[in-house]
Amino acid sequence: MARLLVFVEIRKRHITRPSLEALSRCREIGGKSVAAAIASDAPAASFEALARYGIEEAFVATDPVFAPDSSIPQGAPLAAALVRIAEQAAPDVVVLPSGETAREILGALAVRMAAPALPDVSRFDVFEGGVEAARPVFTAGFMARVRAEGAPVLVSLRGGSYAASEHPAASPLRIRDVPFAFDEKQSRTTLHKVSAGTSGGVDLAEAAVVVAAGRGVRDEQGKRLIEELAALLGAAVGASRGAIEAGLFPAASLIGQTGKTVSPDVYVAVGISGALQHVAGMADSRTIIAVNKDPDAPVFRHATYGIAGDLYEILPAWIKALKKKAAASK
Amino acid sequence: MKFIVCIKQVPDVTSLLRVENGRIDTSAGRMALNAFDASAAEGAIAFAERCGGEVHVVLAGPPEAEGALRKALAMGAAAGVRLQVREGDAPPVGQACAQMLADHLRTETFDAILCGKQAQDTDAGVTPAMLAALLGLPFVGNAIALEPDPDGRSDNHLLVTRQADARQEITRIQTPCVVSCSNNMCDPRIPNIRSVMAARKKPIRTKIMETPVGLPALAVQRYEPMPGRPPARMVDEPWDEALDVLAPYVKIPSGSPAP
Repeated sequence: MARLLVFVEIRKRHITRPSLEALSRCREIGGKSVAAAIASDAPAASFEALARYGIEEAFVATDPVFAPDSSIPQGAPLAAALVRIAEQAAPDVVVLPSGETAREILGALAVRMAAPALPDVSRFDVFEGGVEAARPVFTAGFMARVRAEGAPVLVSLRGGSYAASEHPAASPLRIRDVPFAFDEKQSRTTLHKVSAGTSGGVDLAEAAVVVAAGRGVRDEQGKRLIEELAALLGAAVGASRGAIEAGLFPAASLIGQTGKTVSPDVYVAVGISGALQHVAGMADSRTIIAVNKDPDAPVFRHATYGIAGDLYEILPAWIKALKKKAAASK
Repeated sequence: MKFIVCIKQVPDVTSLLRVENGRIDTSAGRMALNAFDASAAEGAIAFAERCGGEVHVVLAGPPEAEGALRKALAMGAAAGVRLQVREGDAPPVGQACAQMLADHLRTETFDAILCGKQAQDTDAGVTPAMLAALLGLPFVGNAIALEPDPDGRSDNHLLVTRQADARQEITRIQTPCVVSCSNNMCDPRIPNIRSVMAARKKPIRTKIMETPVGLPALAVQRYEPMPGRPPARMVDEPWDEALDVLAPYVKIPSGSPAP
């Protein structure tokens, strides 16, 4: 049986949702031959969650450089730690959750492990000696069926491709400490300043619901409606390029090929026309609800439910109706 | 600062492309400078105009790909190099492409290598980090801004703003370095006729190289149309179908009794 190693990304002391999805998919394929790879200043905080997701072995690189307030950009130390972990774990397949972290280190891992890399796959299977996968290409215009052979093969898995599912572990978690030390004085990069991301404070990659604004959201009043609906749903706020260029939303909330790729349970697209570049960042959402004035807007080709109408009338009515529905179900 | 921008020519993804027998038919469309690379070139050119310096461009590809080099020259790059594989060699894919670029860049002097964060055809984005690893240089990925080091005593650092997953990071990076650029960094300029004419006189050197062999790469078995979604169900007031999807997520405002 192929040995699978999953890089478990920790952000603000929590395992990210795409990491849990990657763990769940690997457990489905590999059963007991799945191990987690963790780089952290305080790894023990994550052990309980790993066990809950059926993981019985974890390779752990512990170093203060991985602290949430570290002054060292994480790319270089993470890549170095994962190379050390892979040397010890000797996996056939290494799976990383897709995202900016994986994008920054995947190429370096491929060079240092002399391994083929399958970036941003939406499906993958392991066979003897390699991996077969499907990955969107051409601005998510086509799906490429790809194959790579080698040991290891590196895979980064798009969020939302598989469900994260808990699964009791048969035996207690075995911790393998991997000797690792990062010399911060040798680092050729340092963090000069860090600024927080998206509006509303809910992380786009983690949110079960995303409310996203497009060019149709023209002003502060429209922005308030978006934020009110998002707050009511505990949703993260996203935006298309149009809404960001209008200066209403921070650049960090950009969803699309050039921004973030999200795949929440529900994606509410408000006043978004549905340009290819935007759709590439949200097409994997489970349910898409689109509101647009123009009944011919391309966004309706991707939506589960379409509402043709004026968002300035519809959103206030929805907020009222949802509050009523919630009260009624109590 | 001397910048070298690595660029690629790709099929215009907005043109009509079709899948036939598992291959993408690009014959109906035109070729274009990869949009992310155009942003990297613009970022470098604007930086050099503001703070001094020069910009060179390099591309691995056949003679037909020179159009992308000319475009970058028209935007303001000073000179270009086209890496051409030896006759009979296969075009470089995967790590072989990064290796070929790295082999060339080792013979050049530069302060920073810029790349687009990914190519619009493969959407892979692994080459920039591969280049940095092969050259042993520090790397920042997904840059949205590029500034000189405010600590002006040394000009061997850059300030790079990176869009990370949940925050923006301004990194002080020592040169020489590799940076991959988001197209949120800038809007590439559209060269005017005069610049286009001037670019024709700028030098493009062709360098014949062997395709590196034996390096790992993925193999594309076939392309398929994206699995489509069924057409949207259009919902009218009172929007029950849509609202019933959202209702389970409604957060009870604090202060009200728990359900």
